[in-house]
Amino acid sequence: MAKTSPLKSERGKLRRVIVVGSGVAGLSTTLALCEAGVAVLLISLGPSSRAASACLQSGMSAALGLDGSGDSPQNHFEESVEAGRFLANQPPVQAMTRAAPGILERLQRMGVPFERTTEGRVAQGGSDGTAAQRTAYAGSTTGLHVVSALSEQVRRWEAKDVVDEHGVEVPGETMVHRLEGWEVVQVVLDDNGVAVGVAAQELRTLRIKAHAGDAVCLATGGVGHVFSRSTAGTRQTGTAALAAHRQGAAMANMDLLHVHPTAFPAADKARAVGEKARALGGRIWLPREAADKRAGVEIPEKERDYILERRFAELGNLASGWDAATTLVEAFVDKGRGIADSDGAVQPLAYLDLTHLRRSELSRSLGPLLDSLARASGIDPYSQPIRVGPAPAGIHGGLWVDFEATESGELVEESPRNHATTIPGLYAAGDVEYGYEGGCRLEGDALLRLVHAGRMAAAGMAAYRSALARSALDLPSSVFDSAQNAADDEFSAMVSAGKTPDGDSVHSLHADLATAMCNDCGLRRDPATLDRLLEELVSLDDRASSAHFPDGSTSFNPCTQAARHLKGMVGIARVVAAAAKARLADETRRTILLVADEDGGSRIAPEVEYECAGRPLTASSAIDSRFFQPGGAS
Amino acid sequence: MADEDDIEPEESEEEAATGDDVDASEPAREKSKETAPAPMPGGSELVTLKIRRQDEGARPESKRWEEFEVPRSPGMTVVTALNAIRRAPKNKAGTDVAPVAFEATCLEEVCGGCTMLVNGKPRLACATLIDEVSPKAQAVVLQPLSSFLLVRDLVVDRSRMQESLRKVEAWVAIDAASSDEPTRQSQTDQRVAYERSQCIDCGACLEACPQFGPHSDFIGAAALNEVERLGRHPVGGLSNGRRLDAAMGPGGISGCGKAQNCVEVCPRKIPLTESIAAVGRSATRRLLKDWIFG
Repeated sequence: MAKTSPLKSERGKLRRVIVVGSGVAGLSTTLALCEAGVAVLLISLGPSSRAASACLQSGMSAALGLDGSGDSPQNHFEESVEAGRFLANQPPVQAMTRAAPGILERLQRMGVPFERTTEGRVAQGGSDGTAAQRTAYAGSTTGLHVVSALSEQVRRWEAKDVVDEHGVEVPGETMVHRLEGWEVVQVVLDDNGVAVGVAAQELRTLRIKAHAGDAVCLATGGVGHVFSRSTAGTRQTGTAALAAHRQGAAMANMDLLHVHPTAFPAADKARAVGEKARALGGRIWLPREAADKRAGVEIPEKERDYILERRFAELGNLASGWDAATTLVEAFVDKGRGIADSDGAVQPLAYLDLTHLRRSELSRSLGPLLDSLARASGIDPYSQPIRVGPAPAGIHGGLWVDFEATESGELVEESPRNHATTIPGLYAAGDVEYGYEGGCRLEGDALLRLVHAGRMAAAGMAAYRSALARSALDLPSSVFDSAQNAADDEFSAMVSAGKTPDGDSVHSLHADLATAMCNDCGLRRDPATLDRLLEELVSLDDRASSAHFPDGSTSFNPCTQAARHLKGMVGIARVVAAAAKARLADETRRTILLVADEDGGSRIAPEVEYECAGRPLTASSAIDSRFFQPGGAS
Repeated sequence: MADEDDIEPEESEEEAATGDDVDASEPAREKSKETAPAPMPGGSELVTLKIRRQDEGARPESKRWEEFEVPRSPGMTVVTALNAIRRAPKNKAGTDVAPVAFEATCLEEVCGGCTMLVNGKPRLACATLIDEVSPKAQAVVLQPLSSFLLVRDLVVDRSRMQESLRKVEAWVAIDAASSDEPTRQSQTDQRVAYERSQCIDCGACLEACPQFGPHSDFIGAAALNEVERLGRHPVGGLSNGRRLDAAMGPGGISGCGKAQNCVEVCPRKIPLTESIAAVGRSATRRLLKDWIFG
């Protein structure tokens, strides 16, 4: 077979790969691809500043070993796996914790304003699930700054011309070509089921177009908007992930609920109050008497129960998100505790108390966050304890992705298997996939995991691309035409359903769905409720297919997007409920693999056959726990 | 800030609604348990929203005002009200209409998407409490940002902000990935950098600026703040000349009319006027240097 040019297809077209999503994971993937000399088509709903990653208040953990406590990447690795309840594959987590110091240093160079020591080094503080001081913070807005810094670097590549192997610029082509305001609706598969591009819709014009790419990476984020009162934004619907799932990509661990332990119930959503508040010394307490109607500040010290300090002798208020959330939920549900309203109704909330901390320190470290909380709550968090409680943030699971490790457990970085989904040529990075987190993540790993996943996915895609016998850009145009036609037909069907006035309204159906998921598929689950929920979701799916929207506009039309997202969210909810039911029926520690059914649902599969770069492989539900097991035995 | 014809007369008292309107404005289709607005005991209080609508940027003839009523609830924001309209899109006259198009993504004051004119001022809709902008049941007036191209209703196209950032080369020109050497920075410099790193691309500063708009090529406060911020960074400062040259070119710093509106409206409290003044000083120094040393 003739060796293909890395730069141009046989027909002389510039070879690009496609990255979908421009949050931290998508930007990191794009950046690493450019550094490897691979040109990228970056498609996103909007500018990076609107990405959910910008809301991450958590800092970035990296064991630099500068705090004198003997902290090490190994320590970091073990704590991450333990917090994840041993549900994550260990080799990728180990690689992530080893890569962390380099990632942190790189982000400083890019301009993330991490706090500093008096000597000018990056200062490291505490975070949840660890006694080590290994988390670097840029105030309470680290996510915002990481998004900005990566977005600036990608902007630099947007301005850089592609240079061919002879050092000559390719006219009119820059390393990154960016499409903003486009929504990916389908992966384009060739006749062999290989991902060769995406079909996307321009939101301004509603025009659908198929784009070719030698490989595709979905970095489209999580699914938190499926739950009501979640900490997620409105775009975390999982719609793109569900489309890929229905086209053949397996999902994994979709039952594992990500709960934020301390969220303030604001009017439009639950607003996460990052663990930095607790790392600075913030304390969680419940009134000893649930019926106590006094304002928090008036309840005397001896009538307060510092529940996390009592339960977790070592970490106290910095218990991992899972431990903190389950402890609080147990107190609320089983013991009827909480905070009483003025009318005596006990709310499932606890106090987060910062009032003993120095105002200047708080203002410097958490200023923008506390200002916005003060506005939303009408309470001054500097002088009064604020009401917070556990809230759904999303699902730890997502699209199943592979990794390749040596016998000793080192990742093979140049393997095309890293971050490959079960659709050949389709990769996934970030909250959209299930890797790294297991059943809970340390919040200090949240940003780290997104940056690292992007870098690994990029390496995997670059390896996959160099093994390709034929570029996707040399495929007959019929492949893309038929994908475009299919997407067009699907859209037309949705629009005509939207015109039928007797359907349910798109927006009220979302509220029904999100409420059902929150009530029936939260932290507490039982088989009978899940069975009922699964039935209800089938009917919601039908209702979503014929959902009505009162907007006939043939250009920019948010109702059409809402209808698509609704259908996506119901689909995701069905996967979540099916996985939850399977975990409840058999609690063996394993990865729950799911494949799409013909009837619109998903079924559990013990393993899934797939192919990557020509090699037949198997996705397994066994967890790679080669380094250590619960209880310390290895 | 807004067109002349957009300036509104004072709302009359009779616009404040009575409880009798509740049932009429409640569509039968509304089924949601959680979100269905329950009538308050003793007659529900409603808030009126007067919204500037337009179906498409290219169809100015569709420009119109439309009024909506939604139930008032504790802690509700402008986004809460717009969501209520979206669930039950009926105007005050009881006519079914297309839901008002608006942008709102994070709902927690970080993404910058929901900036619009609330009673004439550029604000984040998710951070604007209805009780604050309508303390005595006045109508809340919503308009799209006027300095950008209109997409539909309250949605505008802010991609010009990205173009400005490209123009001033708003990035730190780091070397290839291999040289992961840590930078050093004083605590004081970090605090200054942090304050100036708060931009969320919301566009409020540009809306408030008399010099920014379709009539001019001025890049505005947001991009100039980036020039200042990146110039202070230990690595970014090394290539400050290129950003300064861009900021001294057409559409750059000389376009600032020193109205100081930008700093007043910035929802992230960035000291924009200090940043612009600092860029101005650096630009002058650079000019003098060129003049003296050729």
